[in-house]
Amino acid sequence: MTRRRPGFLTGLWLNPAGRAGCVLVGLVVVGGLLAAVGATPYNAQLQNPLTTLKGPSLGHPFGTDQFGRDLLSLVLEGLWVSLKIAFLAVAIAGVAGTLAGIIAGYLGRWTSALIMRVTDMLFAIPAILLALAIVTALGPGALDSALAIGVGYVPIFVRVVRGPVLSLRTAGYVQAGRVLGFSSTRLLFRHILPNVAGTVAVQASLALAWSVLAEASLSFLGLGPPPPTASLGEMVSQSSSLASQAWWTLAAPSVAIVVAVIGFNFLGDGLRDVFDPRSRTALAA
Amino acid sequence: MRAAVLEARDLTKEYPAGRGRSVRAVRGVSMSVGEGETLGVAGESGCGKSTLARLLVGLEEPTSGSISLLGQPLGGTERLSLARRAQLVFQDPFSSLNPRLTVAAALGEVLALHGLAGGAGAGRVGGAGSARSRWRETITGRRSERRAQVDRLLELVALGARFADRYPHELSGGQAQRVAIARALAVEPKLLVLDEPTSALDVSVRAEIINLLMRLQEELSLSYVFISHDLSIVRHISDRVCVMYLGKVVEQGSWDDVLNAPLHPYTKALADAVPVPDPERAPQRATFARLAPTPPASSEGSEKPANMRTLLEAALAASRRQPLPGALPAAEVAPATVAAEPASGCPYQARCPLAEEICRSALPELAELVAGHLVACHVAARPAGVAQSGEAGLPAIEREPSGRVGRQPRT
Repeated sequence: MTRRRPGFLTGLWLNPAGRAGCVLVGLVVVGGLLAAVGATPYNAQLQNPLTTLKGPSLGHPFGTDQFGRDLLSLVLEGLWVSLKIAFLAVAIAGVAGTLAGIIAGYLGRWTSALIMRVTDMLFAIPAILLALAIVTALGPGALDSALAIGVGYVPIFVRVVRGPVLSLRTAGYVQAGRVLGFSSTRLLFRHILPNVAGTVAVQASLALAWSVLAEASLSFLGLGPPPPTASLGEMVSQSSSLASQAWWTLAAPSVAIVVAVIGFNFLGDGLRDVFDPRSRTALAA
Repeated sequence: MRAAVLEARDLTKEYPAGRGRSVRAVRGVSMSVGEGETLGVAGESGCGKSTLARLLVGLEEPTSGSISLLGQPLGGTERLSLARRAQLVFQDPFSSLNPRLTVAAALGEVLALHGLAGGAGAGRVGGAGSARSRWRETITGRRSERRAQVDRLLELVALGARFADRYPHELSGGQAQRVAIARALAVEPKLLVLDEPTSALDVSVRAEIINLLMRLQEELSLSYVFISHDLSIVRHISDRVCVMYLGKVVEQGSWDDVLNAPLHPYTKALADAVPVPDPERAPQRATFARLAPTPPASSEGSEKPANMRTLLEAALAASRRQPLPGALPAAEVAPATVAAEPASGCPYQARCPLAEEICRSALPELAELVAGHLVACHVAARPAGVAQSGEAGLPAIEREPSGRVGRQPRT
């Protein structure tokens, strides 16, 4: 939908933050995909007593851990798990939040008031606390983590979508559509939703950054996917006792988290600039 | 008498304004529009013009009163068939077009929804049943038919098919308004409600759009309700005119009667506010100068209106330098909360130079003072003999205007 606007990707690339975001997110996603297809340099779970706690070298660019596993391969696997959970969480939050936001913005006062009060209540609870509670209740699987993280970000999407919908509801072309006999569904999904898609995309990108962080926090606390699954947060927590002798065991997963979080943040900033009509005209000039 | 396309009876629209109060944007408005006729609606901002427009096309439900389009009541009508009868053109052409849809997509969506892809009027019946067997053929056929219809619509508004693939931001204001008109005409309505369709446009483009609208009216025998605060445009396009003040119609009649021989003091003030682009002519354009030669329509009333007019003229002449004293009362700008509007009497009393005791106590009803010319004003409606000056009006006009015959102007 958005691609039809001329120069969308070009605009993103011309924007410094957008370009940095594209590069970093590209790096992270490609790395994750390598792990997904099993194209990591080593089998990540392969333990080797001869190579325990070796520093970075040509053979093991990120070094090895106390079991002799290749850290690069482990980080890539962890990244893939993180990305899966983050994308799933954002998908849950984005779809639920956008729907709730549209309904709150479009429908009458009582529905809107109800949705917004529930949103406020969710907002009042820190997302990570909410995730902790949900994960404890549901269990530590990947889907459960995604749900736990996603619920915390629903209110952000509700808020971000409701505002524009509220103002677009009275926009001339929506009124004209109503006079022309368009149904509410058609108006909402063909005319209003595409015009808030940009805002949602920006928010989704930022939420991805927070979700990666939240997932790492959960697994750091031991509430992530159980041990055979690689996890960045768990790697950080494992390495905390080793960091004084083998700094790379802490650095490798941390750098991966930082790159992913910064990448999604930059991408979000870039998208916001591109979707903001004012900065678009500035670009055109 | 032409068949009525639109009949509105006693339309009232109230909006809740908090704390149990309400705003009455439209109060007891009745109007009718015949086939191929243009009814001009004039009035300043906040007088309920746009609310009226929204009521007429079913965007808002009237609090009370009834509307019928082509003889069928508007309430409870299915929205698609309602859309086929009346359409609305908005003031701002850009906000009325979805920025993400090309011209062809915007028009095509309307055609597809109403099953109007075929030739003019042909799409209305059948198609769906027989189409099922050869659906693929039909769909591609429909698509090209729809495109052809889009091109026809664009030709109709003098844009041409080359605009079909443009986005709204690639159009000028006039072009965008033409697209909006084409979209409204896509459903082949009988009535077009035009809510200030030219006031967001450049003056040069304005004339083009007006001429386009007049040509379309002739070709398609459309009826228009043309809403504007610009009297010179209303005068140009309208067959009949009604003037609104604070949600009420204060004067209604043929454009010639209402704009060249206004009877209501508010209409006079409005008519006097129209700029005359000629410094030589400007000083002569006081209302009474234009009134004098107009012969009254009915022979029976020939004496009375003349006398009554002269009275009004004299009074207005006294306040001519400031045709409309005071601003729209502050509370009424938004417009008239029940608490803020005059508790009783004429809504215009606070600014009226002719206001009398009765104007404060009784609400003037629209009355046919001259054939086909309705006015809601106690002073204008009173037979001249009852006038305060005792003498008939004729000598009054020869008196010094500052002698203030009749009522004192109130500021």
